[in-house]
Amino acid sequence: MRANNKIERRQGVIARFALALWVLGTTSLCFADPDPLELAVHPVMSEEDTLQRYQPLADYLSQKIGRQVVLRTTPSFFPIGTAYVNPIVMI
Amino acid sequence: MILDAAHFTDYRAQKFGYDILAKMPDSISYSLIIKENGDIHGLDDLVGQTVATLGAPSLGATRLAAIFANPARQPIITNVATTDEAIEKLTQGKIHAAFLPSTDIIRAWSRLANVRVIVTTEPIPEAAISASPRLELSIRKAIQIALLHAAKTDDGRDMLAQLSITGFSPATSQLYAGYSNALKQYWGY
Repeated sequence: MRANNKIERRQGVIARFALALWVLGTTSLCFADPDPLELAVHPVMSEEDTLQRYQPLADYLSQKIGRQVVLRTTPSFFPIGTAYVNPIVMI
Repeated sequence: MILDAAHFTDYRAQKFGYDILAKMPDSISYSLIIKENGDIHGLDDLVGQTVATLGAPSLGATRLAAIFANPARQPIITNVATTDEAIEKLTQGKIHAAFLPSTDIIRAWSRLANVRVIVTTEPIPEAAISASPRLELSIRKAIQIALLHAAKTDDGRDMLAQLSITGFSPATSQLYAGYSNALKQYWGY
């Protein structure tokens, strides 16, 4: 009887320890990998040139604020379906 | 966050409460260039002729629309995706004129044989970086400080050199106030 209690207590301690590890792990994951920030750039150059030119700015800001900054642009102002056609989509 | 021209920067600040963090240095103006040996001598000669600019509602397109305000006397607007595309079309004689940022024209001047500037607009503030109010204030402030102090650090100076600018300048919503009026002529704004 006493042996069984000892085993149950040990199992309880192990379970609580495992739960604590899981909570710690998921919490640290949340803080280590927040959503990246998006930096959009107006399309005054070609899409390729825009991304190439402004990538150093995105990298610099990522380093300074400790959060990934992802660069975004559109191919140009005028094709239907780009973000600039509709101001709601634009933001 | 978004880096955008004055009219969109003001639009976001007014309509969506965007926080203007910093701006590119100096100001921007647009110039209308033509081939020197053609039949075009002034603005009136461009009515019904082709003029290339970045597509509406880019800053260039809105400024060009302000120059040709009379709906009965309009040039034919040819949308281009880049300044280089406009310059190429002009030098090949595919268009009669191009309306482009003055700094881009100066940069490309060596490639522009027999080209003349006939109009330059008044300068307005350069593009600015603004941030959504949904972004935490502390992060907005950290980004603003990083931008405005970039010229004081080695990694900041490297970044600025790659952007070909000397540094970011302080910017406020007051500086950009009113430029979004140019968008009122476009559907949806």
